Amino acid sequence: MKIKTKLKLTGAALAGMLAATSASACELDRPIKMADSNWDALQVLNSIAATILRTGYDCEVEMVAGDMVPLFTAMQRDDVDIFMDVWMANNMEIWEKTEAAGAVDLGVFYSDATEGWYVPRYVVEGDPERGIDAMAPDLTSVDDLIAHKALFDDPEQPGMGRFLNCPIGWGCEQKNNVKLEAYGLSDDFTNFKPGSGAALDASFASAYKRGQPIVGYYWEPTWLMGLYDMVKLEEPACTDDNADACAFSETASHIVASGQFVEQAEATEEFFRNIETSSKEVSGMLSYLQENEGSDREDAAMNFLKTQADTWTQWVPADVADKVRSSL
Amino acid sequence: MFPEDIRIPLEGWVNDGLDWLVVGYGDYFDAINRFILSFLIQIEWALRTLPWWVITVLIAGLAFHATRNWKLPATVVVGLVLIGTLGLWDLAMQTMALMLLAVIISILIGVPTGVLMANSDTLRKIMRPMLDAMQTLPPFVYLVPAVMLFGLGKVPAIVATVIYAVPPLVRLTDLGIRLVDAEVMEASRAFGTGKFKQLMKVQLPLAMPNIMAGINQCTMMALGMVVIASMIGARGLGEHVLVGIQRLDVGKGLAGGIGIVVLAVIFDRITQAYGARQMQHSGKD
Repeated sequence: MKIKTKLKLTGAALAGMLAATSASACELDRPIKMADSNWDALQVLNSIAATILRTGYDCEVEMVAGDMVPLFTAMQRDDVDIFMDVWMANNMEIWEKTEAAGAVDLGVFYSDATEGWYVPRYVVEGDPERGIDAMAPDLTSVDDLIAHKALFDDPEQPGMGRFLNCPIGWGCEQKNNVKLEAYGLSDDFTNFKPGSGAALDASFASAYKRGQPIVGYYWEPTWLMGLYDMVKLEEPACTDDNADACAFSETASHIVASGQFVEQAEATEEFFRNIETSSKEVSGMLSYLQENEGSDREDAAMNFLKTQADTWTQWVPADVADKVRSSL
Repeated sequence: MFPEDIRIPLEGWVNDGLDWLVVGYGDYFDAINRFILSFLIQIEWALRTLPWWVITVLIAGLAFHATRNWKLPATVVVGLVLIGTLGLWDLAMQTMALMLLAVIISILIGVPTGVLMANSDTLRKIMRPMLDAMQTLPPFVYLVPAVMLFGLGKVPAIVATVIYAVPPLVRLTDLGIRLVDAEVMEASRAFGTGKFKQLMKVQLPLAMPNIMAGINQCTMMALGMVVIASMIGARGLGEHVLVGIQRLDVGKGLAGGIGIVVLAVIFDRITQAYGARQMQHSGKD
C-alpha cells in the first residue's frame, strides 16, 4: 500500500516536472487517428489539421485510409478519432448509426457547399484583362436563358442552346431534367449529358480557357470553382408549389469525432470545434493542387497555412498559433 | 527505388502543350469540328428521316450485292426489325451515322498511310510504334483532350473512334500491298505501266482482300468504341447502355447492348462478304 502511494507520488512529481519543462505535451498519450478517405478536399484538410496538431499541440497524428462506410464503422469502434468534411445530408443513415455508438458532431465546418447552374463571370461582366466583352450583361437568372440561347448554341442541334447537365446516373441529373422542363427551357435548350465527370470538367475548362460562353451544372467546393471565376444563376425560391424545381439548397459539411476522443481530449477537441472555413476557401485549396504541377496535399496544406493565417489562427489559442507559425 | 532527380517532366509538357493548343488554336479546331459535324448532320438526317423500311431495304440490298445470296439479307431484315421492336431505332441510326463517318474517315486516312508504309521501310519503322500506341493507350487518355479541343459530343467521339479503329486498317493495307507478287509487279513494269497506274490497277486490286479485312476490323472497333464515346456525350446506343449501367437498370443496358451487337453482326457479315468476293476475283484472275 505504502509503496503504491509512493509510486503514485513519484509519478505525479515526474509528470509535474515534465509539464514544467515542455509546457504542452499532447493531452493524449496516443496518436490521434484521422479518417483519410480518397477525396482531395478531405485529404488537404486533414493535412492542415495534422500539421497544426503536430506542431501546435505536439500530438502524434495517424491517417487511416479507407472508404466512407468502413471508416464510419471504425469510428463506431473508436478506431478512428476524427472525420472531417462529412456531408451530413448525404450520409444521414451511416451517421445515425455512428452517433448511436457514441460519436459526437463537433459542428459545422463550412455551411455553404452548394450546387447550381453556372456561367463564367466574363459572360455577364466581360473581362477587360483578357479582352473579353460582356456577352450577356443582363443574364442573372435562369429565366434570362432563353433570350440568350444563341450564345450557348449547340453545334449538333442548330437553333438550340446547350445546357450541360450532370453525367447520367448522378442524382443531380434527374433534378436538372425536371428543372429544365419546369423553367420552360426544354424547347430551346438541349439537355446535354456529358457522360462522365471528366468530360464535364473538360468542357468547362476548355470553354473558360478560350473565353467562350457556356452554361451548365456545377458544384462547390471544387478545384474548378477555385480556379475559375463563375457566376451562379438565380433560381426561383422554393415554395410549397414548386418543391421539385427551385433553387438548390446549401449543404453543410461537419466534423465528427468518436466518443472516446471527446472523453479524452479537451484542447484538441476545442480546436476541432473552432475550425470554420468556407466553400470558397476549400475550392482555393483544391485549385492549388490543380495549378501547381506535381504538388501534393502536403504542399497545398502548407500553402494554406502560410498564406491564410488570418483564417486558421482563429481556430487555435494565440500560443498554439505562434508555435505553428514558427514551425512553418 | 529509381533515383528521384532523374525525371522527365512529361506531365508538364503535355499539359502546357494542350493548353497552348486549346488557347491558341481553339478556333481552328472549331472549324474542323464544324466541318466534320456538317457531314455527320447530313448522314444523320438521312438515316433518321428516311422511313425504316427504306433503310432496311437499302441495307438488305447491300447485303445481297455483297453475297448474291438471300441468307444475309434475311438476317439483316430480322436484325433491323429486332432493333426497331426494342424501341432502339432512332438511337441505332445515330450510332450508325457515327460509325459510318468514323469508318469513312478511317479509310481516307488509313489506306493512303498503309500504301505509303508499304513503299517505305523507314516510314514503317516510325509508324509501327505509333500504331501500337494508338491501339493500346486507354481511350480515356485521349478522349478527354479530344473534348478540350473539339468540345463535347459527336465530333470528339469520331476523332477518338478513328484513333482507335484506324491501326488495323493501316497494318492490313501495308501487308496486302507488300504481299503483291514481285513477279506481277515486274510484269506490269515490263508493259511500261507508270507508278501511279501500277498502284491503282495492280497493287490495290490485289491487296483488296486484305484491305477489306482491315475495313471489317475497323468497323468492328468503331462499334466497340460506341459505349466509351458516350462517356463524352455522344448520343446513340452507347448512351442507352451507359444509362442502363449507371442506373443499375440491367435490362436497359442489355437492350442497348443487343442493339450494338446486331449492328456489329450486320456490318461484319457485309464487309466480310465483300472481302470474300474480292478474294474470289483475285483467285479467278
